[in-house]
Order: sequence, then structure tokens, then C-alpha cells
Amino acid sequence: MEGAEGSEADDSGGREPVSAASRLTDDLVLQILSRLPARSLHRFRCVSRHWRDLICDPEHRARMAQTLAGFMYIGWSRYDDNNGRSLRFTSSRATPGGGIGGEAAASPPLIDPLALSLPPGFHQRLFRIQCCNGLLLLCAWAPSSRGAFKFNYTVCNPATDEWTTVPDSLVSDTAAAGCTTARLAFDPSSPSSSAYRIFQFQNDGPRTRVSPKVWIYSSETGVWTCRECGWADGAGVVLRDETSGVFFRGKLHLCPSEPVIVSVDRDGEKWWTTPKPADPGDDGFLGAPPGFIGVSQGRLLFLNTPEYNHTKMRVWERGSGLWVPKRSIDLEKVIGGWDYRFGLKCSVVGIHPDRSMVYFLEGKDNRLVLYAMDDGDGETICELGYKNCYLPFLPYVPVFARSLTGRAAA
Amino acid sequence: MAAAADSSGDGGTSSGEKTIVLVSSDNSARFEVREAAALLSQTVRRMIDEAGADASGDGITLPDVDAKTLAKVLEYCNKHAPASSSSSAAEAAPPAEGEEDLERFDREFVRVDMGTLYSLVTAASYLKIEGLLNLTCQTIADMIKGKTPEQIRKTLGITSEFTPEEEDEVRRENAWAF
Repeated sequence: MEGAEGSEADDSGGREPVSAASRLTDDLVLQILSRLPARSLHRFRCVSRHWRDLICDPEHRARMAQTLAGFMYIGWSRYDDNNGRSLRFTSSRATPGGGIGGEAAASPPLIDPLALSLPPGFHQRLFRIQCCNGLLLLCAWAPSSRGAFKFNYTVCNPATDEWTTVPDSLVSDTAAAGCTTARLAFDPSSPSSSAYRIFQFQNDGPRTRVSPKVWIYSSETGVWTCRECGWADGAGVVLRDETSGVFFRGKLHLCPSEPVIVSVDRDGEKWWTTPKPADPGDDGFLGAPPGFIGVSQGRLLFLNTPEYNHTKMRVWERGSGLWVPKRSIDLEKVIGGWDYRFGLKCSVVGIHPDRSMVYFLEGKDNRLVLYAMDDGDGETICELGYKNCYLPFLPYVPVFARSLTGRAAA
Repeated sequence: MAAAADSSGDGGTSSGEKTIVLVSSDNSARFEVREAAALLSQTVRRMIDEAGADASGDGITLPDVDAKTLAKVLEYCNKHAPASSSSSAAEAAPPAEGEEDLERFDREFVRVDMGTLYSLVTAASYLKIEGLLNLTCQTIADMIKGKTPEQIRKTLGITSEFTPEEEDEVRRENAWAF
């Protein structure tokens, strides 16, 4: 009663080809599309007009994998009267006139942080942000306290304008603010997709190098638990807000200044320390920079400059339990001309999750540069301006599914 | 063991567990299955609720599922159904299968031709069997993930409907994804 029964590899021979699409309702097509990675979805816009319309329909965005939209950071703006400081977003696409790969030109930025429904005055009180797979962790001073400043965490999804405050951890005063750093662990593609964890790493004190304790908040239980940090074996590690990190396949990975990459599972039960991959010529004398860790096309990548040559950047890929060197980036191509007198101010801020592209922030004017690894070329996206942005500068992939219950702060 | 999906089956299982009769769309086949297996389908569950106390000796007819597909679907349901809660009989229903065993079963289960796969995904959607819908949709997604648009059109029998200009534009905008 149906048509061809040949496997997908062979042709239907003499029989009439199955018009299988006619048997798949739109809802089923969406069910299938919602299980595809972003790159495939972009490619499949070319399958047919109908598929293009299904994929691009804003009603369906919540179900579709998204790709990099831009970067989130705390910055200053000269033109609004927000005391200048606010959460800011910049698109990762080049400004018109310098389009990347023919993407549609000038559309308004996807996210306008100032239009979010966060409480009044929130932006001025914001002092720290982190981002993980579309959710933001915002750290702000509590509004009412004077003299005894407290801070609290807000988790926000800027694409859906949802936000929720997190109950205070036991470490939330000024002294603590100076020696903690926090990370968000959230994976929208996992089975418990709306659950997230917050890791608050607490140093012994402002000058010590050890992080003996970590507080972990679970959105499922609504409770903070304290755990011993399993990396403190002897020397411990220094973690800062700018420390590069990524949450991937249930583990949080961080690159402290020490020559190790530290990792922990989302429950804070298993802790790992692995040596950072290094150039053969590195001997630890000068000390390498902390490096950058990220995920691209389903693989964990680590980028760092060799100790003795800061004009090159090495890219390593994690596979079968090893770091494998993949390629080198010539930073002189990224910055296109460099005055030796002023030194090389160029740091990696992001790797594109679906393309072989690396983003750098370069120079005193904070020029955002896109480097396409396959072409070996750097391209300016925009200039953020001198002192107009604070690190960390965080890659942002939107999540349109609604998952936060908005418990607004009093 | 639960009654096999064989149209000549009759009566209840030897453990006396409740069974349900499901009938394919063309009335060509009747399948007697454990209630736990049949209730994996939210559609069947609703039909039984609606039929109420009159729950039929005649069986429940599923107008959108043909015999061959129904047999295959019930193979899935029998495997994935929770173990019987009544432990009175000597011949108990099979214990809840280990996860690895289920995964292996699922992998083998979807090694079928495209026609059967589409029938399964459509049936899973109509019958509202969440696990089977997930499995079949994921299988199709995995099959098409790396393909080009031309291959997708051929595999699924889709016509593009684009004008040459539209096609150029959409290709250009998404060139990076190729």
C-alpha cells in the first residue's frame, strides 16, 4: 500500500518514488527539525520554500537550535542617562559594508538589554555577568542596603525577557564579592532542559590563591549547597571573572592562570585537573597566558599563545582523552599591522559554535575582530571604543524556549 | 510473556493480566496486548476512557494504522511497557528491562527501510507514544543531519518550489552552512 520500500541509499527502481513528505505533517517535520544542530538548520532552509518558512518562522524559534548571535558584556554608553553603565549586546555579524558570507545586512540587534523588564536601576547596580548557552547570570548589588552592601544573583534569558532572582547564598557581602567568582551551568538540550546550576567559587581571602569551597545552587531544589573544592591539591587555583570557561556535556571546564585546566561535573561531585596543552618550546619560565577554552562544532577547543611567541595562537582540539594540535593562527593577520612599541593587546573572546571562526578583542579601542580559520583572514566587526567595555566579553547563543519562572525581586 | 502480536491469539495471558485488543485500520488484523503496553499510547488511553464500562470485547479499532505498522508499533510497546504490578502469578510478566538492553533494542528497532520509518513516525504521532515518537524523529534527524538540500529533497520527495532567484538568495545567505 505504500510505495517504494528501498532503503534510503538505493533508488526506488521502477516503482513510483515515495512522496514521503506528504505523509509527514508540519508538526512531524518540526519535531525532526528541532533535533538538528544549527548548521544543518541553516543549510536546510535551502531545501524548499516550505521548509524555509517553517525554519524561519518566529513561532518555531523556541524549538530550533540557534547559532551565535553576538556578545554580552557590561559596558558604558555615552548617550543614555543610565549613569552610563549597563548590560550591553553587540552582534557578531559585521556591520553593513563588511558583510560576512552574504548575511542579510543591517537589521536591528537581536537583543536590546535596556528594553528588558529588569527592575529600575538594575543596570547601574550590575557588576558581574556570566553567560551559558543562552542564559545570563547577573550579579548586582542589592538595592536597599546602605553600609552593608550585599549582592545577589539574577538569572535572565534576554531572548524571552524572563528573569528570576536566586535566593541569597551565605556568601553575599562586600568582602565576599571581592574574592568570589561565579559560573552558570545550563544546557537547554539536556533532558532536564530548564534546570541550571550556579557555581560560586569562594577564595579564602582577597590575596590568597586557594579556592577551598564552592557553593552550588540548583534551580531544581532552590537550595545552595557547600562543597569542598576538589582541585585544591596543594597549590589550588586562582579563578577570576575573566577566567575562560565553558559548560559542555555536563561538565564545567575552566582555564585558571596555572598550567592546568580544571573541570567539575554539574553536581560538584567529580573534580578533574588536566595539564594545559603547550607548545613544545614552552618551559614554564615566562609563564603562558591562561588561554581560552570553548566549544565549536561539537568539540572542545583550547587556544593559547606559546610562551615565547605571542604573535601566534595555537588551537588544540580535545579528542579521545588528548589535546591534539589542530592549527596555528597568525595574530598579525588578525590585527593587520601592529606597532611593536605598544605591545600586542589581543585576546580571544569567543569561538563560533558552528563555524571555524574565532573572535578577538584587539587594541586600545577594543576592536572586535572575526578571524575565519579556513581563510586565514581577519575582519573587523565593530569598534567598541576605549574603556567602553569590561571583560568578560561573552559569546551569546539565544534560547527562545521559555524556561524560567519569573519570580521577581521584591 | 505477554500475548504475542498474532491475530490468532485469544483469551488473557496465563498470569490473568488484563489485555486489550487493538484492531488495524483495514480490520485485517487483531492484536491482543497487555494493558500496560497498550496504555503507552495516550490515544488508546483516551479511547478506552471514552468507551468507559463498555470496554469492548470487540477491540479498539485504530483507523489510521495499518496491520504491518501496528504489529511493529506493538513490538515497541511490549518491550517498553512497565513490568506488571501484579506479582501473584507464578509466570510473572517480564521484569523491567535494563536500560542498556532497551537501548540496544531501540537501535535495532529503527533499522528499517524509509517507508517503514515514515509509517512508524506517523503512527507514533497519531497514537501519541512519546518514546517511539522521540526515537523515530531522532532517527530521521540523524539520517538527514549531514545531507545537502538536494539529498533531502530526493530522500523525502520534496519539490523546492523556489524560483531561481529565491534559491540563489537563500543559498547565499546560508552559504556558510554548506
